[in-house]
Amino acid sequence: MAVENLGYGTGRRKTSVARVYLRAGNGNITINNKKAEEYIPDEILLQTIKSPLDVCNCMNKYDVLVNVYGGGISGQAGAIRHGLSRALADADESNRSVLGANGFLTRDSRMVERKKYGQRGARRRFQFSKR
Amino acid sequence: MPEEDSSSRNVNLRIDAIDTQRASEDCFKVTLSDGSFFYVSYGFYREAGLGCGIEADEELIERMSDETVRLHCYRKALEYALRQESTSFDIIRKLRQKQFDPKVAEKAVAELERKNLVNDERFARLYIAQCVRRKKESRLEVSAKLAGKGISGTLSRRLIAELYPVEAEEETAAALVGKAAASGKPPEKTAAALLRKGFPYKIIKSLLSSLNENGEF
Repeated sequence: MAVENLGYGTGRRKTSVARVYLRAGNGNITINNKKAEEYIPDEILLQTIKSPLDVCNCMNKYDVLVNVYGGGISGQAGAIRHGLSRALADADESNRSVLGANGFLTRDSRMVERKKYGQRGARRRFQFSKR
Repeated sequence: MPEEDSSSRNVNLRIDAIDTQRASEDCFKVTLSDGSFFYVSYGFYREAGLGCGIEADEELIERMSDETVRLHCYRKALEYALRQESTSFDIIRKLRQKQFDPKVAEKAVAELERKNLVNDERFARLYIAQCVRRKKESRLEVSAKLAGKGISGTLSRRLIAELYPVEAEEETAAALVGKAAASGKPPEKTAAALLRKGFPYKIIKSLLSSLNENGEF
């Protein structure tokens, strides 16, 4: 039997991309076929993921299914939050204003700064020795 | 942001346009007849009864100017709060570094706290849980780190007693001692390192003596 998606959103942060599906349920979050607590063992990042649900007061209203790839754990958590916010706005238009006012729908445009030629990194210079 | 100082304005300024494009972000752009503009919140817009063609006296301009600064500070605080879980102390410190007035910064953070986007207790709970999971830090070190993040001593003591009991600290110390023993580190050095990390001497002594009895050192 096909499961109905109540909302869908794609989120991005750094190089991570998350596809988030909302389904009727009681607040279970599944990331890449694992429980959220297993996939992201960092409490602070878990809180980051759950914050849009918290703001919209729908902590136990939906089950969240996530496919995420690219980047590291922090970027993925940010991408999931962004995707979840968009999915919540998609599921219920009244969520959009509260999510927008709290900045959850804004794509964090910060990316890694490029390395510069003549330097060791983006800002780091080569070691200098007088003699 | 206002383009020029309000004292140098003509008295007969009028509101030329109100841009509601950013209404979803609770932010309206009010442009005056001299081209200067301000950002105000929806609450302010309603309370002040703003509208196109209304005369903007000095008092209104000053209020809009204050509102613009308040909104700017609030948006910055929100940005910091969303980047990562932070304490109110941390956010106020960052805002002060950005040259915001401390009172405005405190008000902005208070608003975030009211919306539950910043919560010191939640931060402390998550932080302690993370420390317990990582099994690297003593209770004293966790408490010092929380103090550095602006968590009050009463709150941190209460939460540490609740989330990081002495037994868990013993387990952490045992894991560290076991690791040191496996790498062949002398017991004196292990003891000194653990003391520096803030583990109680009693725990270290009992762990080292039990390992000595087992002949692991």
